[in-house]
Amino acid sequence: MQISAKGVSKSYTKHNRSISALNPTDIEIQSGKLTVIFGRSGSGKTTLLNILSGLLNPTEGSVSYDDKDIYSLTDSELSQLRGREIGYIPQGQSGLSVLTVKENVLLPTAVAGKNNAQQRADELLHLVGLDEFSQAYPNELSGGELRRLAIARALINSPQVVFADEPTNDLDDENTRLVFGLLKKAAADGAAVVAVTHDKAASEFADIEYRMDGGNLTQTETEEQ
Amino acid sequence: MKLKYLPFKNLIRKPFRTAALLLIAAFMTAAVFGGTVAAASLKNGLDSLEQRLGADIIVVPEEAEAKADLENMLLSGTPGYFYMDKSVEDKIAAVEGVELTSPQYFLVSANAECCTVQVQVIGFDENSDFSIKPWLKQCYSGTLGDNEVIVGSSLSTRVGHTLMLYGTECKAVGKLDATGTGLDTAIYTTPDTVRRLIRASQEKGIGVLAKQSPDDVISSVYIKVKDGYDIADVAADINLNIDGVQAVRTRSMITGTADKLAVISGSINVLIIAVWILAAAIMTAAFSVLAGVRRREFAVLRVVGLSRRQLGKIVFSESVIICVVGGVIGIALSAAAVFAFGNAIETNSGLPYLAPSAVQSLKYLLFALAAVLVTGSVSSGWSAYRLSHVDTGNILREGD
Repeated sequence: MQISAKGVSKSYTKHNRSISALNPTDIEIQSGKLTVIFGRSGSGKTTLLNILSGLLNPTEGSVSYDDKDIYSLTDSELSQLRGREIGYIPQGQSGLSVLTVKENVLLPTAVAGKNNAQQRADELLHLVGLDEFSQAYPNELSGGELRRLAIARALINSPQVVFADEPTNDLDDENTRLVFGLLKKAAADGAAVVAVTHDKAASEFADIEYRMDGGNLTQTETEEQ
Repeated sequence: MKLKYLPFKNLIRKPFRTAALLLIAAFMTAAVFGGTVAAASLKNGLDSLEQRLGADIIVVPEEAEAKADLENMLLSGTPGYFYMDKSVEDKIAAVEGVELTSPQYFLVSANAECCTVQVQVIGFDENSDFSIKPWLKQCYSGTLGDNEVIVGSSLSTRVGHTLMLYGTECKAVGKLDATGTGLDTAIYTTPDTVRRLIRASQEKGIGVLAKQSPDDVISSVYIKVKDGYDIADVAADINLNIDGVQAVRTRSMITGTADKLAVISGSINVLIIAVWILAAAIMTAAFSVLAGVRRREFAVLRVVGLSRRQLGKIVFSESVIICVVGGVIGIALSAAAVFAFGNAIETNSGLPYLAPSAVQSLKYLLFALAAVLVTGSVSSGWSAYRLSHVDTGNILREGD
């Protein structure tokens, strides 16, 4: 899938003042690659990620998936695209507390109307090391385990694009490496993976690196370099 | 994992939250259903009384307490008796504008060994009666014989059983439908039987008549006024021209009760509306607070592909389940209270109280359920609508 953002920007109005969170930005996301966007907190990287994933309307510009502007789609069409083609790993705890770990992982398949994903869920839980917690509830998991749960959920529908927002925030080194390893594997399996982080450890796994600073995006490195 | 089960999981796995919402829904429905049924029961009672009296004017002895006794007898079932000379009936019949007259005879059985129960006995003349016979016919089509009685619905005596009144065995040959008035605690029989019972009471040393013979007295005269005549004028003529009696307009007797009932019904309606507004405000606030608490949960659902419409359906389903279950609990509790304490309400309020029919009750039940469903759906739907129109990305960034 070819993902392209052209001239996307985002500004908010606060106390009658317009604040620019993201200046006009162009970016192309490649399939089979782990793209990492580095930046400090408040630099605009999450804003860009949310715009790319169809979760936040840009003030200006367009985002195309295979030449189709996703913000011209109806809410139903865009939701369907998100459910089937996009895996999103939000920052922080995102497990639904009323569902077990396995039910959380299966949630996107229920939304997409797929009923035969039990085996895939078991495989993913094994892959992220949560198979023994499948019947546990999110409040019984640690921060690292919750992040791995979010990754398994994002991958359950075998999406063509995966977005991860600060996937290793507050994690120890071991869990950080495990999480980036899983994202790298998703990219190796053919997905276009985009992670925004301030964690330098991501550099070791990134195929393409960008830096976001003050709402401005600059490419810093590619695997060829 | 199926999406349709998500609302149930949300409710079952958050038991305290669910219990609080159920309580609000139950409280609201109980108030609407209970209040509506109570108000309707009072109105039914009054309608029934008006219908059963069936006369334009009732003439009773002039004594001040006679009218009060009659009202107590009819409204709250307090037994009473009074007598006047039977010649009064002929005098009344001669008054211009009087179309029909029918005498009635009252007696109270004693609270003693000679009587099974202390009860109001009403004797009516089957030949001239126009007020009791029409509704008596619904339960008994024959002609009452000697010592045969028809019992009010509140009495425990069954058809075929006998009652001992002043040592006289009286056979129950029919039982009336409930009226919600004092008439439910009375028994009805012929004038001859009443006279026989008066004599029997005198033999037992319980004299209800001091000097006169039972053959010479009546208790009241029910009057039907000819078409074209003013009822008030006819009543005034009787009061002016016939000594020793007072003519009471039936409507004026009921008016006092109707006024009291209007005040009570009005208060109940105000209470229903107040509780409804309060419960609706609490429900709206609760759903609004909950929507705030569940912002991130809803955002995650949007992230995994739920559309605004699907999200709204989940929230709507939850509120429908809450409202229906809470509504049924509220209706069950208020029905138990209103129907179980109907007699207590009647006794304490001194007002006629007749519970609505099954069909009427079902209508009130559906109305109460609809009220809570609409309120719950609108308040939860509004919260869900507001939330689903915030960019998911902005919710996810909160706390970033």
